[in-house]
Amino acid sequence: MFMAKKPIVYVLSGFGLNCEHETANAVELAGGEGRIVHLARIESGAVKLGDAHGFIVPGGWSFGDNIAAGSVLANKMRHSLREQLDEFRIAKKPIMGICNGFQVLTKLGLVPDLAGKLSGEANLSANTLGRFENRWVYLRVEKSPCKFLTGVKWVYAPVRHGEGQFIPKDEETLGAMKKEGLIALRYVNEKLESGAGYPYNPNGAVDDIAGVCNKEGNVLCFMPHPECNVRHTQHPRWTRGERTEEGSGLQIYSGFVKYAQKFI
Amino acid sequence: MTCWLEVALKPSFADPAGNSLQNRIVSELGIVGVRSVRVVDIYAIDTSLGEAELRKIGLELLSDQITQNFSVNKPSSAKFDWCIRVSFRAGVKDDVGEAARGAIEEMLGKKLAGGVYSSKLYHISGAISQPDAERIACDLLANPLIQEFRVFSKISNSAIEPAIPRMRLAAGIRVGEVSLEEEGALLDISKQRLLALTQTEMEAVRAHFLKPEVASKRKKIGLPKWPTDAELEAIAQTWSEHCKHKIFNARIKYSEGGKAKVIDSLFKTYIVAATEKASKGKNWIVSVFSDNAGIVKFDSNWNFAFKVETHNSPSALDPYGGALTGILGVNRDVLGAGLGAKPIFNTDVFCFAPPDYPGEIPPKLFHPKRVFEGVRSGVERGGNASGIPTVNGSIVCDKRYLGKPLVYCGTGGLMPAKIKGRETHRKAARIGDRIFMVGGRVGADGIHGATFSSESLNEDSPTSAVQLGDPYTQKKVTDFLLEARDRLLYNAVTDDGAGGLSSSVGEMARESGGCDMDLALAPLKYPGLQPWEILVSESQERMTFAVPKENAKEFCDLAKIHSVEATDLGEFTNSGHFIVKYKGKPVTYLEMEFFHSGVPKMELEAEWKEPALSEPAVKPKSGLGEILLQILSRWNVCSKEYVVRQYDHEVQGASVVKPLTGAKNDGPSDAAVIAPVFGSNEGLVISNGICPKYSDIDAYWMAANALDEAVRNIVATGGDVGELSALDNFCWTDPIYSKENPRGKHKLAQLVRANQALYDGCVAYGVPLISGKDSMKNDYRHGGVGISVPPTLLVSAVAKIKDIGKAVTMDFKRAGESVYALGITTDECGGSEYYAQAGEIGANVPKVDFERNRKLYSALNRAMERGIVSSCHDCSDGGLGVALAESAFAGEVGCRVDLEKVLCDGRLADEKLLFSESAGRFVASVKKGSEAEFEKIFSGCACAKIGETDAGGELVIVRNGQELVRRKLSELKEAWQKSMRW
Repeated sequence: MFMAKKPIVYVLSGFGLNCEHETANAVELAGGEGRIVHLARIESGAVKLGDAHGFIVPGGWSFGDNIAAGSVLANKMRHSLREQLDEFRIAKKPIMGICNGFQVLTKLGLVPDLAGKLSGEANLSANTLGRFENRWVYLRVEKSPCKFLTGVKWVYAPVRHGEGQFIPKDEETLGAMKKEGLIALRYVNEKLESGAGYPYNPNGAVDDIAGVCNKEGNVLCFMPHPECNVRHTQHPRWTRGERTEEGSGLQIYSGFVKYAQKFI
Repeated sequence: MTCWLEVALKPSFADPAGNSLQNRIVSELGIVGVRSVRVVDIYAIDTSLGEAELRKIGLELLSDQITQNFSVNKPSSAKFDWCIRVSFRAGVKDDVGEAARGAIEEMLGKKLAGGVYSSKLYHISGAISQPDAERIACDLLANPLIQEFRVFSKISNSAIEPAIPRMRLAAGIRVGEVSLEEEGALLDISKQRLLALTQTEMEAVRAHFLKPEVASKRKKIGLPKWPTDAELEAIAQTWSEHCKHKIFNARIKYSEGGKAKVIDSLFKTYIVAATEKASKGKNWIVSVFSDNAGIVKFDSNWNFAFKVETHNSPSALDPYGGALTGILGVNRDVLGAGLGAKPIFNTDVFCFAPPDYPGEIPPKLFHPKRVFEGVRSGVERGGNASGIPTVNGSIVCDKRYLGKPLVYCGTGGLMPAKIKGRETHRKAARIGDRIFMVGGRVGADGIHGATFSSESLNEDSPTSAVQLGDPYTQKKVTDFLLEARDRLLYNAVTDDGAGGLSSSVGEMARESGGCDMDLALAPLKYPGLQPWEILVSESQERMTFAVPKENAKEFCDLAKIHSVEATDLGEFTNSGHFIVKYKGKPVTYLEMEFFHSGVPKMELEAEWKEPALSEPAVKPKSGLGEILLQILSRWNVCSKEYVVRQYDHEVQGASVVKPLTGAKNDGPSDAAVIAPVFGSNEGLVISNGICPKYSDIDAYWMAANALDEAVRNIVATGGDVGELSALDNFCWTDPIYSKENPRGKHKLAQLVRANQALYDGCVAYGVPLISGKDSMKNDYRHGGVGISVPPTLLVSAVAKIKDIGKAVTMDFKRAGESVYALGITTDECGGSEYYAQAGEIGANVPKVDFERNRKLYSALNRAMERGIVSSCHDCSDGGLGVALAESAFAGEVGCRVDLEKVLCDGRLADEKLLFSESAGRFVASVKKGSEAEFEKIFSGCACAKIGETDAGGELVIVRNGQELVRRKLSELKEAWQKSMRW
């Protein structure tokens, strides 16, 4: 037996992102090496994105969510990180965008990217209720090309956002997303049924869409925070004896790390 | 030329912000007839750009192609009846405009000559009048202190244009001399310049400048005889009540029942003395009273810093901005504790007038609902956008908070105990260290904050004291600071809060023995600020560092990586003087000794007369079940889920017990538990206690109950009472007697008594007070109207929990478990919710038996350690009745209890047993089969089994077989939730 080498996962930080520590911790718990990397250090060339085997844009409030959540950081990365990110993506290395990261990568066109042109086929708009909410939600894992959700049935995790309403460009885009199976995660009720309405779908997302992947299955983005359900005592009802193993957010990170291992 | 873009949602998309405004127009203003509200963003670019560039900006940056449209240099739509434009006043921080400017420059690859200014348009459709539209603008949208609005009608649509609030200041830098020649004019000078110094204090300043040795030194370096404006302002900030706590340090003559005694400093006599006594034998206390925050040990590797501040005066003028700067300010206190702690949680406690206040609103004040919303959203923005979870809080309502809301913001932080062998709680600027200002730029905002908050809110309250915080800039400063700390790049750090550079540099210069800095080096938001303004401006998001010369380059390079501005302003010296220059010319030359210790001690009088109160003959008009429902709906009891959900309470991934708990994640937790070190089972329990309602009877018992409530909440959740520290935050009404303040002696007596109680309780419980703060002028005066807050003490508490897996929540867990009442119930409905519901105060205030409680709390600790307690809830507002109802509906587990079994002092009427607010009590349920062990642990304490949980879905309360209450849990929960379901 030999110990598999740990894949290196860069977790982006800086410019108002703020979930990098718990995200890197979840990567570690899943068996990867989570390295927190400030965007400016990739921009300056001090750190090369290509040296990593996986890349995560975590949650936070990049540029204070000013103008629109994720838009200013996306604008910055579009100008400073284009080539490195393209290379990483085309090599089919795993990329994950969580909450603010979802907003950023959607603005950059990485998901759903049906046309393969990074043209921006969806948006994350203000929650229908018009307010930020911190609330635990059930997510059903749908059949999708995503390379790191294999075997995961459902996940229980908190959402913490004010702009998470997923809106595809048009009916055709939604249709194509369904056809290609790019809706990777849906908001559901305790019985894992979709169409349950608010508060199960906390933001009014079209078709209960909570997470989206690209056709190649190496980019996955979602609004909830599975890194906040990787430990027994993070479950909101652990004192009532509810188990964390089922529905744990760690499943997503384990899948991510396992897939990243291929690129060592 | 100015260009502009409008960005609007496409008509086919619903507008959540517009919809909520539409709802508020009906619910808060009662204006009907509005059919729809659409919100439009305007970006005005004060630089000439071509159409193609503007279209690119609109397309790629400012709008979303899927959901939004944009227009260039023209209105985006004419589909409205009224359009309200809300823009910032010149000089007010505009985060969105700044972010847009940076992003546009990045996109175009060039600098813009002028600024970018954001504003909003509200397109309102419907049959409302112009005065209605103006009311919407005034009462819901714009705060005239920081914003301007204009109302456009459908007809004047073509006239819509963006606002360009360029800041223009008078040209010419001037350092003025303020003559203190005339003794009779001293108080006028203090008033005119908003110095908030008394006649005695002004005289002390005058006397100092009259000293021959001072005069001759000043002459030598070319300064005038009398203080310069910068010197006088710096003295006023440093000597302010806000910074020097003059009342807490005063010599007080206290009389009670004909007997008088002298108390030389409340702070030393009670706070310090209690902490000294309580700290004996506790090796986990690291640093108290000497830093920005109190510091205790968390585990062998980590220390924990905690600070709670108030931001009442700014929140009265601008609830949103005041609360936002409040929370960001206390974050900086923790960042500036020792060499810097990383903020790991926030706590927030608010006191407002009831949100449904029906009366007239006096001039200059806002309706409590607006204050509530503004404060709530300011703290939301400050906490959420900084990535700091808000884990605990409270909202207290009393109509006297109409004059000034109380906004308590607290922050806890974690720091490595040592870095490369150096203890992080020690810091000192050394001779020769460079003075670095880091973070935001200096502007005219926030001038006179410290002195303003040292006065009552009145006609002349300055608008410049209001500012808007920017969590984004501060987050960058935080990331920078923590990395610089871990590399040990600096010797000392402190935040630029009240008093700005004059306080931060002045404070740090005490360690080295002086400083020499040049204000002309400080980066400004716009040119034209006078030296004194730069010196005392409280512009936000700034910290001051003492950086050894050899680290200066690395320090600056690191700042660049984090996109943080770091500026070398001068050096720390041992000259014995606070020397400030402008372009090399001295503007202040103050002896450090005089600057920091020259303020004369206050002499005050306090006189305690017990208020003439009596117990009312309240007879329940309806059944006890009906009264229970009414109490559950009261503002002080009802669910605060509306607020809690809008605060991120889980970021950083440390959450163990969340503010909302139970079967449906919506019951009220007594305290928060977090496990801040990944992989460790050790945790912190965080709670608060606040009960100003008892001040009407006796501030001694108010304070005693606040402390007990904080401790009780901790113990109920599993925190170790032996490793518990507390923070005290006093918010008082002016306690200095004068002709204008005839009740001053009584108010000071209340303050003395509150301190006595805190001392007695902390000594008995062994609880050190590791940090605290006071805010003494929470009064409103305008014309003939005066409103004063009830004397209010917030006790914030934090305790260790060795194993987070042993934490207990307040919800009943399952049917068939025994329910216990712990503690003794006494006829103590004075100040209670029950009496308040009947419009009474009463006289029998809850009295705290600290000794008795201490034993009970230790026993509860032991029972939880054994893992046999399945739920535990503290009894406070609404007494046993409310605690039972909350435990039951939160757990969705019914129960039946017999009041006759409740241990009480004498024979109490049913309603008193149910609603008395006696301290030191809990409702607990115990795991089946563990009852005997539980009772054994509590032998010698008041512990009685009063009933059992069941699957009936009801709360049933009987006494001697007679049924007093039978209510469905859903009905009780509905009563509790409906009040604040906004």
